Amino acid sequence: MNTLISKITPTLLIILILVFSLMGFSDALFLFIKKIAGGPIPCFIGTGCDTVASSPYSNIFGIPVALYGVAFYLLIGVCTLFYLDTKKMFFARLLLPLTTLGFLMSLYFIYVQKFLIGAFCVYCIISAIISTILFVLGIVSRYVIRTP
Amino acid sequence: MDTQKRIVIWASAVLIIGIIAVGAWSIATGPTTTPINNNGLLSEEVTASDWTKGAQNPKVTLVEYSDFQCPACAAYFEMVEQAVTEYDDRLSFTYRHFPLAQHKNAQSASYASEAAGKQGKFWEMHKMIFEQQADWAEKNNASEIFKGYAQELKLDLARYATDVASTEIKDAVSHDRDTGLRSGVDSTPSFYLNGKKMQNPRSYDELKALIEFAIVNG
Repeated sequence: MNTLISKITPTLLIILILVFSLMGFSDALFLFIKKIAGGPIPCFIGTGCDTVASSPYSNIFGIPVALYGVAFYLLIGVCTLFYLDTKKMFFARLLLPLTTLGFLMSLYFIYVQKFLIGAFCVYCIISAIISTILFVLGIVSRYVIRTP
Repeated sequence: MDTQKRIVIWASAVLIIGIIAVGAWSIATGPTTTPINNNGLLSEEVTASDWTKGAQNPKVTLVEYSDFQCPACAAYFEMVEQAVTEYDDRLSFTYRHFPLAQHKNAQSASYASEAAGKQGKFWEMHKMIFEQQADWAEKNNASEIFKGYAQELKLDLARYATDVASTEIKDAVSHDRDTGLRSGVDSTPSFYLNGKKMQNPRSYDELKALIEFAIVNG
């Protein structure tokens, strides 16, 4: 594990985080636009997309869950860019708490889909996978990005 | 880092986000990736598992893909009821679920009707749900309201509660939706007369004319 981490350079890590946060951003934004524009959501794997997207669990405090996703991935991306720009440790150290939050939220959403709705939506699963990857990258950032 | 690099980083970030936003917008609001066009034909024949009423050996079959929360569907409900009564010896009417994502209570309305159907009162529930659409459409406790209807219909409430949450009923509703998608349904209500997509009639007389024509011409 340590040898693997030692092969990851800060630049590679930053690129990975940016790429995955962009992927998550696209996924969440697509769902959010679908939510406000209406119309059936084409589910390329499984059939639960509409079941999940129109369930009462798709809003938290009256705001679509997808919008939280958009904001979350955007925040991760912007935070990484701020680090890249300013090289301030504050931004790098923000990554782990943020991605942990995202990971925990994803766990909760998987739970909701499995036990409360009884249907899965492929875009939500993709988002959960991405936020898990980001969480791992967040942990790695603690080792790779060090105070200069 | 020099100013030029910083400008490049932030400008490309804004650009990429802009491109993604435009892309996501056009994919999400544009036509679905595989537009299904079944040439206006119904993909799935009426079967015993459908909710069908009217004539036993119909000359004309009318299939509707409908969403309980769609206002137009509620408007057509009256028209269809009238037709089924008038042509009860020649016309059969089949109701299939096509709940749309933008209607937050459409799905639970479908589940309620299916659960009532388990106790032989699908059409009674169907009627109440449509006739009282305004009472529940925008409510946050719609499923409670439907439970009230179940009570009014003197259903076994314990059984209703189990059925309404069952996978079997969810599957039945999504099965209807899938056959609708395969038939090319993209809005509600969508009517199929003798298996062919019918333009939504603008009045009862127009619907009558379409049915009469189908009776004569098959």
